[in-house]
Amino acid sequence: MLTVGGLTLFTLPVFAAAASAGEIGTKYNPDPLSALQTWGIYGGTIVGGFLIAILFAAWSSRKSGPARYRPGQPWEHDEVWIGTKPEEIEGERAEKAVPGAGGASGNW
Amino acid sequence: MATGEAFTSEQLERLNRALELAQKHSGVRFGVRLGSVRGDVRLAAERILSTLVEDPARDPAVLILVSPGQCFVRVATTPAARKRISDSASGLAALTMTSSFSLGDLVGGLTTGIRQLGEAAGSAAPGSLAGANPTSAGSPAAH
Repeated sequence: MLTVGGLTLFTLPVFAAAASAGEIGTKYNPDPLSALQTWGIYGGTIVGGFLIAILFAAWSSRKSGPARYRPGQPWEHDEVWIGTKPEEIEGERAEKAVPGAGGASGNW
Repeated sequence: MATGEAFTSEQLERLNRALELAQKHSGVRFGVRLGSVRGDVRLAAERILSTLVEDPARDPAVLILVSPGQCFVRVATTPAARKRISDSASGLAALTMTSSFSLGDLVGGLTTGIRQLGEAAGSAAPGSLAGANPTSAGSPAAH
């Protein structure tokens, strides 16, 4: 969205200026464009557009902050607790085995 | 080790809400720990579970231990919680979670699993737990 907006802001004034530059002329007046100028205009516009899009994409991804965990990739974060962490529960509690504990496991 | 937070604040909020609802509904203390585990998973889960409540033999508590890097989940219940959440119910919740995890939905799997375990535990007895408020949810811990 941001990219489209940026491109619009960039191209609209350029096209408007080109359209209002004056008479289009004939085949011989003004002089025809050289091959370099033609490539510059038609190729350069496309390449420039891509460059602007890439810059916008890089800028917005940098703005989005640190990388989040993506499933399937190695876990490279500190451990995360949802709920009250044992350290925050009142009283010192030693880790120990719990006879009679139940549960189940799963893999994916 | 950490390279930023593992979850967005919205994701943590979803998990917190699911946990809080399950605790209020069942009166069982729930804890979810995500991170790598060394050694015997079952024993590690029991050891962490024992720190969630004062008397693991008497107080109901459930720990969901997830190691995304090692691709396993362990649901551990104290003996008191086991009377309300059978091993088969835990297994069903673990299966639900792994199904979501395998599709890449870590948060969705956890919220569904927590909800499922909370419902399996049934309604809270009057005066039980907790109104435990998971205010610290989502914070990294040096455990």
